[in-house]
Amino acid sequence: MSGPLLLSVRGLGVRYRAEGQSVEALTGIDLDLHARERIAIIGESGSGKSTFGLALAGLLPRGSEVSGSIAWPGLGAAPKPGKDIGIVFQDPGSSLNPVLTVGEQVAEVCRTHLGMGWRRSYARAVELLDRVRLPSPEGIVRAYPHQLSGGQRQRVAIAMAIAGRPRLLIADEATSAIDTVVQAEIVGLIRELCSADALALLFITHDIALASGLVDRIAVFRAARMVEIGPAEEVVSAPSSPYTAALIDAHLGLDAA
Amino acid sequence: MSDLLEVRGLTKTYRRSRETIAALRGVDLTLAPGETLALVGNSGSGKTTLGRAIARLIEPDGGAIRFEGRDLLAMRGRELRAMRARLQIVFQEPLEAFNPRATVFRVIADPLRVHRLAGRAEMPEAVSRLLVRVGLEPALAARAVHEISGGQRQRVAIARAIATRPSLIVLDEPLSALDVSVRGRILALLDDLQAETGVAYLLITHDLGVANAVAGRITVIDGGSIVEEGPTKVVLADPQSAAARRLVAAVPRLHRRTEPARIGG
Ligand SMILES: Nc1ncnc2c1ncn2[C@@H]1O[C@H](COP(=O)(O)OP(=O)(O)OP(=O)(O)O)[C@@H](O)[C@H]1O
Ligand SMILES: Nc1ncnc2c1ncn2[C@@H]1O[C@H](COP(=O)(O)OP(=O)(O)OP(=O)(O)O)[C@@H](O)[C@H]1O
Ligand SMILES: [Mg+2]
Ligand SMILES: [Mg+2]
Repeated sequence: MSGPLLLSVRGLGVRYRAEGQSVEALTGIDLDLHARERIAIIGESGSGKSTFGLALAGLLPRGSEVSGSIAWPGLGAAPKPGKDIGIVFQDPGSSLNPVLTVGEQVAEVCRTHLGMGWRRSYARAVELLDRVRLPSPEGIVRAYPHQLSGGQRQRVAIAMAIAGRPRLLIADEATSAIDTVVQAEIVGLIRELCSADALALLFITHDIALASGLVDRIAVFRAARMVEIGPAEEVVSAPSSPYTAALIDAHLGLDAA
Repeated sequence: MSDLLEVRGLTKTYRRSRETIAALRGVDLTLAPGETLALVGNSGSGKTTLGRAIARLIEPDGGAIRFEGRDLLAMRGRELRAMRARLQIVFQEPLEAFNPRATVFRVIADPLRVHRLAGRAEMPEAVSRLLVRVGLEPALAARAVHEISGGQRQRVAIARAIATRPSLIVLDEPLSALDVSVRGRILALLDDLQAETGVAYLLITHDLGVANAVAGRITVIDGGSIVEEGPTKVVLADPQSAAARRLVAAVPRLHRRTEPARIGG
């Protein structure tokens, strides 16, 4: 069951400015998120899903206009990215530092945010790389990001995001390049963290089937708005918006012709 | 019909601090003109390595690759440059492949300019047409690559790859961040293009649903070796190798209320 209120968003709007164009990326978003609660954000490409994650983490690019409010009653203060919020960015390569080994990067999070010594941080890095199911983590800690496959890099990014024991995990297409076997294991790990460490989850995905097996609630975005939100099973079995219904119909299962 | 692409005994070993990783252990693969072959396998099984070797972006340690009847690995200079227009690749992580500060316009115009497929005057029109084909607004051309969404970036990468009318495109997880509606549109585009130009696709994907929908043939790679190959429907309905069986069994299914109750935890 979910715990106390962690986060409360009211009337959130975001506008980007780029090359003389002004882009409305989000408008009128309301959302409450509780500790232990798992929410998926699904929706059209360009509908504002990543923008929502960046806005919560306070990581929007300079020059973007934000309206409405984001309150953190569960924290009492503004959240620190890395410590209170762990984020897996959509493009995993871009969040990793190319000149540090993956072990150094994961250990650095433990050192900065958990105040561990270097030796303990490094040991915890190995343990975390093992938890995200990377093969032979003792070897992988010494690898540089470019020496890993795309799916391996995504798993390093997940390990980094959970390393500081955050209260909220924002995972933006975090398993999009991972095969179904490892994907199922990562989903199991996330579920376990949510219940054991009271972690709340914002799971941004294009995969409605994956979402439906992991989260409590599904929110559907379209053209900068939240067009639907409800319990996962309800949204999947009886979608209230035609757009959601179309998403479900277009799901490519193995039994589809 | 003779093969468009023929890969024989391809090997590649990486060194990484104290480890050596045999990423390809003697891979054989063929592709006919106009065919779509899906390449699936675990994360780390060697798919990107194989795709990059075929696109001549990394040198394999051993083996041979023939493309359009010629020895691909022996190509140099002008011959190699001309080949790049015929054999395109869409990278797994588009942000890494492009300079993030480059505009969308430049990313798409570059190959058209380099291969002299459009002059300066026709360029804006040519770029707009390609953007529209992948379902993007022409106005996006003015933005920097880091100023568009992840799925928009994937579509820019596809627009760039189809710009030179290649005979083979290696697509490395090209749809991984696209919602089903956009994905459907891109799949239809790839299909139309194939009907128009006879392009062949090597589709690297972890999504067996996508492989099932578009690829006539599928090949499964595990630990750097091809372990199974055949018509997609047959392989997915009755996988023989342990690797293929594991992938099929783990495909996520829609959890509807009508299914037997599931207890979370
Ligand atoms: N530059 C490199 N140096 C050392 N090892 C590498 C390098 N690139 C890849 N590897 C290793 O080679 C193996 C194959 O990697 P590859 O990227 O081909 O896998 P993949 O099948 O594309 O995986 P994914 O589905 O995760 O993208 C992996 O174990 C990876 O860690
Ligand atoms: N830095 C930026 N400057 C200007 N516009 C931007 C910027 N980042 C994103 N956008 C635009 O804002 C809109 C929302 O983008 P966002 O990345 O949030 O979409 P998304 O739902 O995550 O899409 P995808 O599923 O493709 O990742 C898009 O139209 C995009 O082009
Ligand atoms: Mg996004
Ligand atoms: Mg890969």
